[in-house]
Amino acid sequence: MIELINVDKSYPNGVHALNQVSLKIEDGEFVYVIGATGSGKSTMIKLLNGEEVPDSGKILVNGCDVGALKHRKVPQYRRQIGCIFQDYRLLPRLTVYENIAFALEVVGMPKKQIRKRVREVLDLVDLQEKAKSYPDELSGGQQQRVTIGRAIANNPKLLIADEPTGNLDPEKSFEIIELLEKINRSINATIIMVTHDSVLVEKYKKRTIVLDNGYIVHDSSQGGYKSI
Amino acid sequence: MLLFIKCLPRMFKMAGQDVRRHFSLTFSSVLSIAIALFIAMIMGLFALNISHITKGLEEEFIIQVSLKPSINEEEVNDLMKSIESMKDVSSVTFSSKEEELDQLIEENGDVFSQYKDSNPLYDVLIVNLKENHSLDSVSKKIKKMDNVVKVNYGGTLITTLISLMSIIRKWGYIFVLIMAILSIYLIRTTIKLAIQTRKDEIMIMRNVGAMNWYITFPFMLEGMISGFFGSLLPMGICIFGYGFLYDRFDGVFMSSMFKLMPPFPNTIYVALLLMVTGLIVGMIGSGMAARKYLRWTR
Repeated sequence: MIELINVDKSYPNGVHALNQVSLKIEDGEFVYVIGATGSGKSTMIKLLNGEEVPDSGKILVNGCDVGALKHRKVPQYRRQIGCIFQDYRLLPRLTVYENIAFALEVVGMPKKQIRKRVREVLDLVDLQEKAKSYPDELSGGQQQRVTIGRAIANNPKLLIADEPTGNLDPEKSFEIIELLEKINRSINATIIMVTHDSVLVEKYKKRTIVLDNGYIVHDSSQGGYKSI
Repeated sequence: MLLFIKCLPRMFKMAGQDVRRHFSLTFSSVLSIAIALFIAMIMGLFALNISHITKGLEEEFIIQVSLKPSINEEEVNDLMKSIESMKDVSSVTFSSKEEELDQLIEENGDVFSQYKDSNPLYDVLIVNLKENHSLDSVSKKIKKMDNVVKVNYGGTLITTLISLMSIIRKWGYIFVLIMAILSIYLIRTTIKLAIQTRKDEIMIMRNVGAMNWYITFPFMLEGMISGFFGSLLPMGICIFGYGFLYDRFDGVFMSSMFKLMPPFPNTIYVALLLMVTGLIVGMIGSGMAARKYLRWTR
């Protein structure tokens, strides 16, 4: 379970990125976070993956107080969450297989287990035959699937997707969402997806949180679904 | 710790792979290390030679005190004691006129054998000094003592030379030190450029939960590899080049008064020092550069 309690965050340049944000997300939920540029979406993600520390308030992820985490412990914490980015962030000089294995090597998993796990993951994201390709030989949708594969390799409880469909055409976007839904069902991971894509939100209806200027202005779990 | 040992082979593999993949960047850092070490090597050899030459000169640094022929043994002993008690004197030895003549014959040939019957030389005291710059003052004091005929030493020219040498030597070492620091910065800048392209890689590593040491260690290994290759050339030049020059100059500089440092085993030491410096500098340089993209506090 993820819980944000009265979270405030401002940056040294005086921008108040988040103001008194309180939020509760249950295990296994699939949540959209939408809002204009500068509304605090990225800050929320950074707070959740331990990159930034809140000024006040508490962030609890599966009972772990992320804001109070010692710096030393951040890497371990990060292994429990998977991150997916708009720009994929794959290592260009590694093959698809190596990119996914990379996340497992970091944890110190033995080679044999890595091989097994990567095969499972490739199966899940449907890229078995591309294992030996390099990222620049793949289409955008395929690259994003590799990123998703890397994010779920460690069996994370939480998956954070920062505009995963931002660079993709609608058809491929649907594919990605369906894949995320599949992951949501199969490994019961909580998924927080930040997006701009109103078509998507319209088509795959889920709990939607709207941020504006650092405030939560709408949460569909309270007060029903509202079309943006 | 356990994880660290478990990861070691993987890290070496990673470092080796990265060196090959980023060959041009590695090459430029290797080159900058090589140049810096080369300059440091030349300065180092220069300073070592200066110190060798001065040491050679200092050994010839003695005051020869000629004694009156009428002096008796007791007076000689008294004189020796009083000279020995002087501040900068390290030892005094007595040498009779017969011994002096033998030495003269040995050094200059049988021409002097004719003096054997009527030895024109004096008995002498050989005074060794602790500090060569007090040569002047000590000999002046001895000159005023009883039973002393003459005080001989190399003269002011040689003292100025010696003090000049020691100044050069001191500045030589300081210069070597400055060069070493400068080369670290040079190398750091090069490696920083090389690592800039890999910012994303470091970011991704952090994102998937890699520990800081896990990220920096391959970079440090890489730095050591460049340091190793960078030191090879200066090492070769040091060992073979210096040996060659030494042979060409017949081991002396200009006159036989300035003896050069023999190449063996000194150049080997210098070469080993260069390699160690290369490894350390490469490691520190790339470690520092990689750390720039990490976060150490929250």
